[in-house]
Amino acid sequence: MSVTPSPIEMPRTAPRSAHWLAIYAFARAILWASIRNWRTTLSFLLAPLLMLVVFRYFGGDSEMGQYDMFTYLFPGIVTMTVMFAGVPLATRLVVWREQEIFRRLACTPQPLGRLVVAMMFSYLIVAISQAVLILAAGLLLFDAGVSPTGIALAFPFLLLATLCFIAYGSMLATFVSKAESATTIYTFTLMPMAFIGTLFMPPDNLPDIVQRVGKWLPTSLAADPIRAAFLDGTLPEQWGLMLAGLIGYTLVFALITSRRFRWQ
Amino acid sequence: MATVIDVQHLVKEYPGVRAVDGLSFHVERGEIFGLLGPNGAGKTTTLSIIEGLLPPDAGTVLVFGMDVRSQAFAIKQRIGVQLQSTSLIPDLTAVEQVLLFSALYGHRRSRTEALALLERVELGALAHRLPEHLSGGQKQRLALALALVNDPDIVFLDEPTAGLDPQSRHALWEIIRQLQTAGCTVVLTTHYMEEAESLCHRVGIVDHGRLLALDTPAALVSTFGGTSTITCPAAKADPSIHHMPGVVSVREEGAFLRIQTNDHNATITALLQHGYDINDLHVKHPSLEDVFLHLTGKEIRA
Ligand SMILES: Nc1ncnc2c1ncn2[C@@H]1O[C@H](COP(=O)(O)OP(=O)(O)OP(=O)(O)O)[C@@H](O)[C@H]1O
Ligand SMILES: [Mg+2]
Repeated sequence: MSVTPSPIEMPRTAPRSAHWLAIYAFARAILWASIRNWRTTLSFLLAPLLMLVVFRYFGGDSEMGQYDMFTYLFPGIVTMTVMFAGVPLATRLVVWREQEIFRRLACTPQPLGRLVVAMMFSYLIVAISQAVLILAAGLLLFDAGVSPTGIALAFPFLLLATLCFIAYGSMLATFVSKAESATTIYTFTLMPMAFIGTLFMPPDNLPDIVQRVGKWLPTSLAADPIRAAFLDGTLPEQWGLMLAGLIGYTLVFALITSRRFRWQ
Repeated sequence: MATVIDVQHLVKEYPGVRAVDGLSFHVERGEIFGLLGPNGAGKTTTLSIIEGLLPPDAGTVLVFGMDVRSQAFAIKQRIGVQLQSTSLIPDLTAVEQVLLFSALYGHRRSRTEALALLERVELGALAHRLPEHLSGGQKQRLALALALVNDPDIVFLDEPTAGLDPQSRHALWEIIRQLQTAGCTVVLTTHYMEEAESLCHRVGIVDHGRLLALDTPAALVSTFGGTSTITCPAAKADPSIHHMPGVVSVREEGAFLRIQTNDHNATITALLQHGYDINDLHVKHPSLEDVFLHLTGKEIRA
């Protein structure tokens, strides 16, 4: 079969700027969707807000070393806020695959990987905003005393923790076929990671070996430096290793996601 | 005419089923091309491969002369796709979806332009609704609008009128004809024979992943359609009917006679000469549906 090429049949590849326009538009649309679904988006703030209230007003006089309970737990509560970032992302990934929305997006000239990265970026912004809200609420309404230095030191870890759990959520989405299973598995793996690790407090009464492993879970790698920064305005001695650990987890989750991601 | 889609010996297997089994055809620029076939015939699979969504197991597919395996992105820039499932983004309104999809093709469109496109599919008044608040037919039309955001040279419509009421269906046919008039090539699948008959320039009938016939609807009907049927009141039956010109068979069905003829003009003339009134006669010509049933069999597939 001979094909006669004519001027209008020459490939019209989009200019590079068009790709940025596409990615920007996509990230903005996802962000807008999170704002439109504000009830769901805000519902992720309920748990941390509840914890703020409970430990501020009902925490009693119990102390953790030199700190009162609320002050000691506050960094963990802020960290926990970003750890939910992977839940709505995982849900959306699964639902979009199920409803063939990724298939529809694959009909456009945008590589899907790029769109998924744009989507992750939107969820990063949402999760960081949520953490900032909880942080602001803690500082303004609940008297959590954190120095500006402390916040600045903690910020990179908060950002990395968000990325890490976003990557974790997208990895889970590649293993399940139902949105509910994604949420369930996410919650049921995050909980033990929080309590074996040091998200809220060191698990002193658990066996030594569990404590050692727990120290290197992503929850602990994020919470330990953030706590040190919030409480003392310094980072732990091993902060470099912790940073590397968080990056490592993120890369592994992202790699598994990119290997396993199927849009149908 | 130039060939815009060239499919040669296409094969696609799923575990346990050969969804596409050595399919070859081509589509000319500017035509409306229809793929007809029973459920599971392989229509969607074939379209998916041409659209660059699914890699073929064997065979070649050229679109605008470019191979779908190596130049899918360049091809996708110039085609528009409506999937069998409408696949709309749940949290964006109609106009937001149009703007987003335009951007995905690298087109910066104003809200006014997006609204004009929605107007074209008669969704102007519903531009600010979320998909969950659109009816099935309205979703279908939004999906069609999204297939047009990049002013494509070819649009692929997988059962675009499934589940539409007659008004919407005719309105959609009109849009498709306008597209074709504007120089766009249209490839569609359908289960509605009258749709293929009135809309498509050429129709390919597929079953079990194989092409059974491909031609204009009229040519298919004259090749495979078989005889016309003349119905007349049995009370006036005349034994000589069997010997009238063109008559193949005569069958009594209740109060009526069904006369199969391969030359209805000659048969009718003879009937009139034998004293039949033209008002007594009802002629049914073979249609694409008869061709379809003849080629694909009458049993319903699982
Ligand atoms: N993802 C898949 N995995 C396995 N088998 C599949 C898959 N997609 C389609 N099939 C099979 O391939 C065959 C062709 O399916 P296809 O969807 O192309 O048919 P179709 O002609 O579009 O049917 P319909 O008119 O019902 O839409 C069917 O037997 C179907 O069961
Ligand atoms: Mg189909």
